[in-house]
Amino acid sequence: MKQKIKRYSLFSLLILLLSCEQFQSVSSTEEMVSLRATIKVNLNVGNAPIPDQLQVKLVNFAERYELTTTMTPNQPITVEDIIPGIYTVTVSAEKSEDGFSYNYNGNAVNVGIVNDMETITVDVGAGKAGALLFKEVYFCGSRTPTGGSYFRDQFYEIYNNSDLDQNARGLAIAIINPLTATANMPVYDGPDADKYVYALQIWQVPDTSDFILKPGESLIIAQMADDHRKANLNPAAPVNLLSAEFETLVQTTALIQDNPAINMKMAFWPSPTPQWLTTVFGGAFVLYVPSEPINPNSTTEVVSPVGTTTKTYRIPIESVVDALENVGNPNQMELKRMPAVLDAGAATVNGTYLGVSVARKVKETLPDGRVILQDTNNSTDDFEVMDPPQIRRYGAKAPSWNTWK
Amino acid sequence: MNKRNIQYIKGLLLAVVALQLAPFIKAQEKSNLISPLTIELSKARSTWLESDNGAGIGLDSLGKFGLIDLAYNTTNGSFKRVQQGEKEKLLDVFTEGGQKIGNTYAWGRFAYTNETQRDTRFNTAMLDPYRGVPYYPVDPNVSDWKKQHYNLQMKISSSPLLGRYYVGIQAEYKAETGAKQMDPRSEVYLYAINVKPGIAANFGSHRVGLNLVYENLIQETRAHSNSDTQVNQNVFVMKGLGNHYTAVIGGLQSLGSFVYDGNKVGGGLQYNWHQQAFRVFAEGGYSFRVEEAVRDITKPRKEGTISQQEYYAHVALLHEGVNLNRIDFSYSSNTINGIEFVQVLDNTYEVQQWVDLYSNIRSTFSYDAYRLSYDFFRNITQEYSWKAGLYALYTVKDDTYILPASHLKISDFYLGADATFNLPSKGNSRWALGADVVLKMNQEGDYQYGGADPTSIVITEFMNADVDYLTQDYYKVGANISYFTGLFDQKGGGAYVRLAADYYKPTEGDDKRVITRLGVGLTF
Repeated sequence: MKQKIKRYSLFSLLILLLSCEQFQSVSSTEEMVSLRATIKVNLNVGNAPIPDQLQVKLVNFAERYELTTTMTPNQPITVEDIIPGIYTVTVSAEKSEDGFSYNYNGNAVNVGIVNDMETITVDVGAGKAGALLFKEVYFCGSRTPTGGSYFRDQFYEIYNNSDLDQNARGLAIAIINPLTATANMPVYDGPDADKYVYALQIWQVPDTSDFILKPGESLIIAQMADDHRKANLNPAAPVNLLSAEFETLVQTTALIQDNPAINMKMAFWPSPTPQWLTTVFGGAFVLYVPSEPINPNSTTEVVSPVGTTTKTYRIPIESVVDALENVGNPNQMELKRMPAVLDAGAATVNGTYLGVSVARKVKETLPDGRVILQDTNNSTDDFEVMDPPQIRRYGAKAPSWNTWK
Repeated sequence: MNKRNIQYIKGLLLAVVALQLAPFIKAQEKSNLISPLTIELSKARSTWLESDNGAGIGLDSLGKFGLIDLAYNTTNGSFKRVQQGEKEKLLDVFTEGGQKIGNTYAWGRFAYTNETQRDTRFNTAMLDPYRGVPYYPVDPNVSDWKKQHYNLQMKISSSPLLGRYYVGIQAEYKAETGAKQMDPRSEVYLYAINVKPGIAANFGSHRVGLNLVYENLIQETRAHSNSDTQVNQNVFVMKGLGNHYTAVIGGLQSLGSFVYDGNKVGGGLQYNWHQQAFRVFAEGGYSFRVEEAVRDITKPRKEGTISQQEYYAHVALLHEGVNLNRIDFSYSSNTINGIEFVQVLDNTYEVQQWVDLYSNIRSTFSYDAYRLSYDFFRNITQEYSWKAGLYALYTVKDDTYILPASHLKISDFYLGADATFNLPSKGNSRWALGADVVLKMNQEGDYQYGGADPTSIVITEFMNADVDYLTQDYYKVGANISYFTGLFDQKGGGAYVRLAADYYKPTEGDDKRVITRLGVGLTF
């Protein structure tokens, strides 16, 4: 009996202690007040001219709350009405001089602003506007007439946004680890681990010949460069990809055939499946030109995250031409896996099998009708959702070497 | 009509026939009578019974009674809150009783309810979305809910110690479960235990009491799911006053399930004075409750925490002679602070957990109620010959989301009246006829939403529609009829059948809501 009383007393005490901890945790909580923060910039623009004015944007993705203002490069600015939370602070500008367009970008990602008058310093770099860009990416798949899932119609459109010819020879497209936005981020060892992004799969434009893209031309990389509206595929698919320049053929099957498009080279994919299906939740992609041939058996370049056997291929951040991160829904913006230096934001179609794409916004249209696309290294701003997906939107042209278009 | 309904009707018809035949089978002494009206009158005479102090139940003269009730309720109509069912069916069984065991008085109650709600919206995973926690997911799909509730209560008061002191305890245990019937689905479980130890002392015509309160509550959702795994379902996670974020149920990015853990402590004081036919009872109390809402229990992320303070005061004046006159005034105040967290993911390989960076009170919810009532029971013996009651109720709801600012304020005034007539029939049988009317007059109603995405379906079809309902004037007319007959000679109990109906109608519009209840029971 005594033991029972002791046991019950201990149990009651434990419950009381637990509740005390709960009560203590709220006892000193005060009502929310808005905060102020000072934004400073460190300009590191090399030979580029100093911009006259910088746009400053603070985005709290969880709250869907955004503040914008402008500042001059050498004068810190105080932003008011900040809801305490996690912010992405983006500083950007554009300037044209001596016939060149320069983009200025700097980001501070996942900055917790929880105290009044915190100072946030953003390093801003400059570069000539990117030449080859992701123009439109369709990853989420579509529904069949009977409501099934169809994912073979994915495509990636690469656009020459510059005034000069660009050669896509050897250009690589990679999806980086982890496949989907997640709180379980892989951790890589090594002092220079943050100088790389880590690819799970890499496909490469053949480096056996030149593939010139003139200004305003684009190339399409299709998972399967077929007319997806065929009866045996998905009559409800939004795209016909027969005119795509490249496809990622792994093997032919009853459904997959070798289409007119040029076959990409599977440069790295440790465990391939019959088709290059990238996640319909939204992967994070990079375009880059390898400085050395991709060796899938390299003991230095193929690395695994701590505690896993997942094989990934490391890609130097400095070699990345363009990057696009996609997440499953707006609430996953804070689960970004792409380094902010490559993409300060993320695009989303907020669902799967919706038959919609993300496409880069138009910055300006030149007198000859060629469009210049927006490239601020922030996919949240640069991309918009398009319904339906469309290849060569905005009058983009197919390259002349595409004779099957 | 389905098989189950036919069985209910057959059972009720048999019960009615049995009740009609019973007076001719058995005669019964009036002095031992225990009928529903007897029990109702005993409770109206009591003051400590409804208090939080179980020790005081020994100071009421409740006597020995027992009741088993089985009832079938139906609710139909579109005059309702958005999260309620267009149609609701409810089968409930409850049993209640009290008696002296030696010099100790014990009271207990057990209730079981099986509930089916049809065509609810905007409730993905809450057994009771109105219980004061603003953090929960909703979806716009029309869905049924099936729920079961078990409720066990007891109060026990010791024999007087040192001729003056009564120690006692009252406790309540709740176990509830429910399942949403359309995608996105959820299976929800709730457990709550509430314990109130108390002491009361008798100083001649003065009596005082003191009680403490402790409550622990856990509600958990066991993984959301979709029957059609090909289609993910969009949901909205509410944070108060329409503020929300979007999420999806299904696939790799599926919203994790929510777990709620709450604790409450508090206390109450009671005072009772009695002199011949007069009695005064006064009580007041305070409680403080904290409840945390956490998502993904394996990698917990705080959705929010509420801290709730409740005050109450109640005064009852009774005069008991040939008739019983009772006046009650009560006041209650309920204030909730909604605390939200800024959390960051500590991505260190060995850690990988959400860490608090900051927390603050993001929203406040208050609800005050003032109620004044008068009840008159005519010719009281074991029962009464008729009774009449009047009440007035004033409520104020004042909710704020601090930033971005949203506000909801609603105040209402209710006037109600009821009457019951006891009509003796053959032998120990009697009919009881009752009616009541309630008039609700909205005094103020204003909702301003200042958060993100004001055109979201959450605002246009959930919040706005709910506020429209809450700010409507309406009247309610209710009627009930019951027939009781004595069955047990020595013990004085009997059986009864009762039919009640309530009709709610707003003063504007064509909506309405009808609630009917058909029940049978035994008293002993």
